Parts: sequence; structure tokens; C-alpha cells
Amino acid sequence: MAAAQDMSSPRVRRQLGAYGQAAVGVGVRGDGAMVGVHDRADDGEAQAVAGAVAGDAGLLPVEGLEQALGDDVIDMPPGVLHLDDDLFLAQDREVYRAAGLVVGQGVVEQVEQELTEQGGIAGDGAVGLGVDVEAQVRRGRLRGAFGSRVRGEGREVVVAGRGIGPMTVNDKQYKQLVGPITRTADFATVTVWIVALAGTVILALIVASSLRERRKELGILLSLGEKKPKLLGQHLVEVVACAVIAVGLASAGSQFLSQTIGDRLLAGEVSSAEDTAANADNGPDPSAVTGAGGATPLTEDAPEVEPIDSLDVRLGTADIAKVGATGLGIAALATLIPGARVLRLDPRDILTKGD
Amino acid sequence: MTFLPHAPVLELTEVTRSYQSGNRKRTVLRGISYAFEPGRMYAVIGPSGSGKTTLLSLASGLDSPSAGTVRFRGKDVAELGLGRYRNRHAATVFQSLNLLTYMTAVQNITSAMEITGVQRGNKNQRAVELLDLLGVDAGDHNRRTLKLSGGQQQRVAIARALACEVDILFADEPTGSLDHETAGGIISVFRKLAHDEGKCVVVVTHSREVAAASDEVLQLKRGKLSAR
Repeated sequence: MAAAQDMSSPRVRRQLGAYGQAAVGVGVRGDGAMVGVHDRADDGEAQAVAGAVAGDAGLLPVEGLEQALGDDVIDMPPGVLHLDDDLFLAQDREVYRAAGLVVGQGVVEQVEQELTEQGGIAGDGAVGLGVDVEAQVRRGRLRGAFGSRVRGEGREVVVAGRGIGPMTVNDKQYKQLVGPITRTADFATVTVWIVALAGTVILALIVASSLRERRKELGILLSLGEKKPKLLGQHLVEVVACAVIAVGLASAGSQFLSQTIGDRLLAGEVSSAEDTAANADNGPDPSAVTGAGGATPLTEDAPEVEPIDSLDVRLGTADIAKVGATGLGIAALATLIPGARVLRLDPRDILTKGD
Repeated sequence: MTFLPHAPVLELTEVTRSYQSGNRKRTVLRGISYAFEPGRMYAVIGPSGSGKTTLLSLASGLDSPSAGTVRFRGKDVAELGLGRYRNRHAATVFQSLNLLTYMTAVQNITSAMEITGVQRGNKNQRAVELLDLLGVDAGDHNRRTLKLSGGQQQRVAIARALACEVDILFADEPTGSLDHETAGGIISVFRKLAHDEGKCVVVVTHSREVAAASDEVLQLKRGKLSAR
């Protein structure tokens, strides 16, 4: 019979599948936490547990799993996760459908082999393939990559798919919650890159222009025998001194500025999200992904949630150091590159061309 | 190391300078050889475009010859280092003066003394002495050179070169923007510098007065240097 699975093991809990004859389904909540669903064969009632893993002999009632998993039991809010009823299997069929995938009898052996090779959890009576649901969710491509094989009464049946059909997940609430803040973060990231690139170009042009204006001065000092590295160092010190002052001012003002700008941006995004949600209420929910098997999204019961509408911006020493180092690096490069070009010339060339 | 009084301080040997202009190569100086001695004042004359300023640039270490060598006290200045040569042994009064216009007259001189490592206790005092010697009004000592007249700027440029206390002083048209009286004073300073302090003074000029006051007059014509 089934080898007992340690259901408290983090590895097991991070994986999906491996179920007994009562069969299972898996999914994620809107916040990415993993939940498992199993169907009790006796009454067909779906239950939700966290990281449900069971051997064919070890399928526990929900109460038992809750006890075994302790704090890991997650109450699945209605409407967050829906699995097609076809996922839950009857024991006497040779072809089963799970998450939209139909697996024929002929591929049973292949499935079993693949599942085992891919790190599935195998027991005497069950074999399952797990996936890291959280990673898949982060990548935005959760698929029903699980499967299990059950031996029951001397027959082999495949009870779950191989990761082809997408899970039926309704993440509307999650998107409602984090959508505005995600868009704000995306905007901030793009802004930071644009500012950094534009800043580098502008600073380089300003310094190059300044060096051009001071070209004659450089020529005069060189004609007196001043060393080139010393002249370059002098310019570098001047630019870095300005950069240090700029970083100091930025550090002092950025907490206030970023909080203000962040709040405004977020308010705009929240408003936009609310408008979108209001429009979406009048049509089909685009965020409900259905499986290839035609799982039915159940959104009617999903409660509305308020999007996150406030930011707590904190500027740490590490952030200031990172910005400061970047700024100083840009200033140094913007000085050294055009400076080196000018100082490559002889003083006579500098003084002649300067005229 | 000791030097004979009339051993050359500066030797040009087969010095050639050419410039590439597109596909065309223009030779300004052709195989010039000459030895400059300490304690003497030289005037280099020649028509415009004859290469006087180019010769001065090569001799003063502002530029390198295309061929040939420039030796200071027997040592190739390229090996010595052009920067070091300019810093320790040669000073130039440019035709375009090349003063640091955001500095005062005194600051121009003291900063040059700092750069060339002149060992003087009171550099400001020395700067004032030189400015007085060259007839710069006391009221102009601490004015930015940008606000000084052309003649005053010329004097400051000469004072800066004198302040560097080098072995060879080069001057490109040093009296060009000065009146006769002041020009006479400058020539007198150059002569004293050569004869009393043993410096080698090389002046590029169109002025007959300067040429007449010099110990040697060298004529540059068609890229060749000859003594008159």
C-alpha cells in the first residue's frame, strides 16, 4: 500500500500531486499561496487544504489534513480557486480528464515514467508530479503540471494531467489588490532608468562642454608643465564635489518627494483600476483563466476587494549609498572620458585649436 | 654635474617639422641644427609663415619634431619628458599671452610658481617685485587680467615667465603690443636676464630694436635657419 508521505515536509508541501484513489486537484490562491483540493470519492464534495498530499491509503479527511498540516491549512475563499469537476475522478473509468487534459489508457505508462523522472512523488499506490506553484505564478504561467496515478483494485488509472492545461484560477481579487501598486512600481522602474540614462548623457554633455570652455586653461597649465593626471584629477574633484552636494540634497528631499509623487501616482492608478473594475462588472471577467477542458470560472461569489491605495516609502542608508555610488560613477565617467580626449593633445594643439 | 660657461644649453639637431593636411604633407622646418648657449640673447626673425613660432614650440617643448632631436644640456628632451622640460627648464611668453583671465595678475604669477615648483618663501612678494620691474601699475596687481589692457597683460605674461626661474626663456613677439618706451624696458630686462643671470633668452620678433639688442640674430627662411 502507499508509503506514508510526510505531509509536513516543506518539499512535499511545495509540490503538487501525489494523491490517492480519491483523487485531487491543485491550484493557487490569488496571493500565490498553494492550495490543494481533493475530492472525497464518497460524496464528490471538493475540499480545500494546503499542500494536499496523500497516498492512496493515506487520503485523509479534511479534518485529518488540517491537523497534520497545522498552520499551513489555508481557508480557500470562495471564488478564488475553482477546479473543473472533471478533475475529480471516479474510480472505474479508464480515461480521465484533469484540468482539461484527456489522457488515454495508452499513455499511462509514459505518464508514469515521465512523472517519476521529473521528480514526482511516488508511493505504492500513487505517483505524482509536483511543481513549484509560487514560481510558476510569479512567472505568470501557472499550468496544471501535476499528475498522479492510482492503483486501485488491480487497475491502473491516470487521475491527473501532465501540465498542459492551464489551471482554472480566478485572480481577479489579487489583481484588484495589487494592480495599482504594481503599475506604480513599473512606472517608477521605467522612470528611474530613463532618468539615469538621460542624466548620464546630460552630465556627460555638460562636463564635455565645460572642458571645451576650459580647453585653453588646460593648455596653459600644460604649457607650464602641469601633469595631465593632476589636471584630470582637478576636474574630477570639482565634478565629484558637485555630485556629493547633489546626492546630499537628494537624500534630504527624496523621502518627502518620493512619498508625495508615489501617493499621487498610486491614487491615479487606483482610480483607473476602479474604473476598469466597474466596467468589468458589466462583462465577462477577463482575469479568469479557464482550462483547456473548459473549466467554468466562478466569479459570482468572489467578494470585491479594495485595491491597495497607500504607499509607505522608506529611504534606507543602502538606497542612498547605491544612488550616491551610481551618481559618482556617472560623474567620474562623464569627466574622465572627455577629459582624457582633450589631454591626449599637446599643449600647442590645445592652445592653437582653442583659439 | 658642471657645465662650461659656453657649452650649449639647447641643441637642435636636424630638426624637421611637417604637418599632414589631407593628402598633402607640408614641411615647415627642414633639418635645422643650432646650438643655443647660456648667457646670450637670441633673436629669431623671418617673414610671416616662415615657421618662427613652430621653431619656438619645438625648442620650448610644446611640440615634438617630426625628425631630429632637441637636446637640453645634452639630453634629448623627449627622454627627459616634454612636461618635465617645460616645468623645470623652459618658460614661454606666448604671442597670444595665454593668461588665466579669471585670475589676478599676482595669482597668474604665483600659480605658475606653484606649478613649476619655484622655491620662494613669499611668492606674492616676488610676483609684486616682477610686476613692478615690468612697469605694471600697483593698482593692477590684484585685478583680474581680463580687465587689464593689452600692454599690461603682455607685461604680466612676461612676469609669469620670469617668475618660473628657468634656464631658457622663449618669447614670441613679446613687445608686439607695447609702446617703444615699455618695449625698451622689456628688452633691457631680457638682456639683464641673459647677461647678469646667465639665462638663455630666445625671442621671436619682427622688431628691429629687439633684433639689434640681441647677441645673435637668426633668420628663418623657407624652413632653414641661418645666422646673420
